[in-house]
Amino acid sequence: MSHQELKIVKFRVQRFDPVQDRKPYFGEYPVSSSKGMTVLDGLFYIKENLDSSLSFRTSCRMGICGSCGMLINHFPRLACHTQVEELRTETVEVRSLPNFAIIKDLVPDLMRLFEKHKYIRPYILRSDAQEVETPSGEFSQSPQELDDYLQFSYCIKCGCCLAACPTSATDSAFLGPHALAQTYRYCSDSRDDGTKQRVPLVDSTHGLWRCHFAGACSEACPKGVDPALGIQLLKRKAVLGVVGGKARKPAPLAPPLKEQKPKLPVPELTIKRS
Amino acid sequence: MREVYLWILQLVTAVVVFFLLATHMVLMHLKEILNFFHIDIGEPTSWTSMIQRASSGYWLAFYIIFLILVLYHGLYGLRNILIELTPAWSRQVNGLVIALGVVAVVLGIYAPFKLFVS
Repeated sequence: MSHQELKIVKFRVQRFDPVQDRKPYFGEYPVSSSKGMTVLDGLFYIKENLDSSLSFRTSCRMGICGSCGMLINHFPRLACHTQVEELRTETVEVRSLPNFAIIKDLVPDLMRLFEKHKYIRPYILRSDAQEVETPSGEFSQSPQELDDYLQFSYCIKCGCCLAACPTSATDSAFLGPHALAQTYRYCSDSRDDGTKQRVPLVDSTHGLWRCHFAGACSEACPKGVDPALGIQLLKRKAVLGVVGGKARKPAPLAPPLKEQKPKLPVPELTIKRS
Repeated sequence: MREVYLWILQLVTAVVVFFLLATHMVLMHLKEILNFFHIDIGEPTSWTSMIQRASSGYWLAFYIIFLILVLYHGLYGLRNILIELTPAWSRQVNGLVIALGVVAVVLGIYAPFKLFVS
């Protein structure tokens, strides 16, 4: 059995109970850190052994649900995706995601993220309403067409991009990198026919053009979505929509299969029941 | 007006102002460079040189176009900064910036035009 070196790391965790605290403060907790241990593991240790009143969001613990977005050592990260050792500090400072109100301790109020996302109509929009209501088959999409939007579909809605965005920090009305990148995700999906409806939604006073390409959103994104790229491509789409450019026709229905493969016969059971 | 039109105008004015500003800077401040190309326009800020430009229809048109494009470009940028800092006051900021622009354009056109006709 290999010997794992244990080291004590100080977790400096933001605490805030709206019922009794006027403003957030820091609690300090010594945590034994070992190789491979994540910040989320540290928070669980604190909750189970040191202070059970600590509140934080968590679910999958594997970087796919987006629940545990936090400001870790002054940078928005997923707690489950951040190893204590990779931070290379004696003290790990954990705070709630910035640009969101705090519900309690490390739990941010993500309604701002979800409302702006809902506003941009994040679903496939088609003009053939009957097909949408009663689908008769799949829509045709080539691997190249999938590549056009695939990376933007990896978004797990963790909120790290909005937390990092400097425009979101000053302008509370700004739509934010998540909503804008997801607008591009749907507008560039070959199955979608909603560009004409969505672009005017984001082409507003506090919309698309208030992005100044700081790129902090792409730097913070834990899934490699690169929302900054999506937003700049959306700007291009918006400008081309005005100065000219061929409108893409939405993907047609995939043709039915011409031949059906013959079904294999069901094998005979090897264990016979009496 | 949809924001995308304002943005496209910002791009167009940026490109055009680059050339107009370069002309203005060369004319006003780079006499030595012009002398190198054997172009002697004299002292550009002297009274005679200024009156010569003021009586030229081409220079009048140049400066009026330059003024309008620079004002649009600068005030659009200022408006964006202000509405980001004060999102609740967007309409008031728009009104203020438009008013500032109109006043600056009117005063800016009046002066050279008056010189031109006199």
